[in-house]
Amino acid sequence: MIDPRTSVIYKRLKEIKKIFIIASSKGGVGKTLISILLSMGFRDLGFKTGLLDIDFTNPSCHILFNIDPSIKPTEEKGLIPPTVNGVRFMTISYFIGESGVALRGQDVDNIFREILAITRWNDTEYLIIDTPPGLGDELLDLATLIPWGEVILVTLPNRLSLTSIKRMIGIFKDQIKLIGVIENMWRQERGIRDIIINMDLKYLGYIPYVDRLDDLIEKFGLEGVYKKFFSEYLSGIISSIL
Amino acid sequence: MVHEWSLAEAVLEAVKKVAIDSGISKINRLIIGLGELQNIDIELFKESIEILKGEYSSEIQIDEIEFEDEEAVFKCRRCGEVWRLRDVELGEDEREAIHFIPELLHAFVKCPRCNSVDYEILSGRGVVIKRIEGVK
Repeated sequence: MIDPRTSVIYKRLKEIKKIFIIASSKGGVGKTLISILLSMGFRDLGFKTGLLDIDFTNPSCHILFNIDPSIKPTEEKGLIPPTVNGVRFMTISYFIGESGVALRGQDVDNIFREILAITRWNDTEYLIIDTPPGLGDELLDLATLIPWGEVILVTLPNRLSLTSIKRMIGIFKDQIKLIGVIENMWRQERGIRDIIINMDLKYLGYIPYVDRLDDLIEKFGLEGVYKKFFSEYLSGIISSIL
Repeated sequence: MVHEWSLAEAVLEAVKKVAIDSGISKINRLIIGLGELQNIDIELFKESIEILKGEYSSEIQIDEIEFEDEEAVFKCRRCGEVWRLRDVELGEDEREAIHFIPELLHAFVKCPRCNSVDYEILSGRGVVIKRIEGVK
């Protein structure tokens, strides 16, 4: 018995210049926000950008994008992701809405292979993949199915988050292409830059802490908050990973 | 052309890879299993395969393709109940979601005996290559 999907994944992704995997073994560090901001930053630099949410049990990118529930992928020799805020965005939320899905590892693996096999990113230049927290199936699948993907770790400026970064490096160092760390919720001059550099990692930059972010997004919209608080920090990060 | 095309393309990519890896120059017989759960349109799938065979003809030759339906069967990990797709009711939107990604069944269906969401798909999930017969 042969699973045909694995054979076509490379063909689906090979035209994309770079694939960035946003990861952290710790939850609540802002991977989803960073993934979305990066995709908008690439978009603003004029690149055709895609964003794939592979948190299958608890997808959340669509909530920040506040997408219209009637939006669905277009069926054309597979599925073409809709464009949301100027970004080609793929998520299983198109199919399940806000329903929860409890999944075992084998199911997660199957969903990931299926999405990669049937999604057509067409002329997308850069693809950002938002991953769920943890060191589980999604990261193992990424290392197997997209070994050329470039991993960006997200951390908060605190000891717990840095410890989880160290764990990830210990496990995945030789299995993934780790290109650096973004510090989220930066609050003070210097932050954890030196600590990251001392860990032999590249410090890609920071995104500042913004108080009551949810309220601000509700008031000004994601695009408004992005432009007001975040966009100026992204060009430096993006230029360091291009 | 619809979603079936992408699965047909995956089959031909996989067959091509097997042929290259095994030094097979011609496929005499290819057997493809079609899982009931994914519910692909067999006519569209066959049409996609036929068109794509032309595109892949410089790399692989395939003489005969057979399709075998596989019944979807599920087993509850909690109570051990075994049931079939015909035992559950699904709406049109739910069927479409499962058509694209079969595991999304878990969002819509629970074990009919104990209501658990922890069950496995024993058979009949989606498209698989069951057998490739060729000559070197």
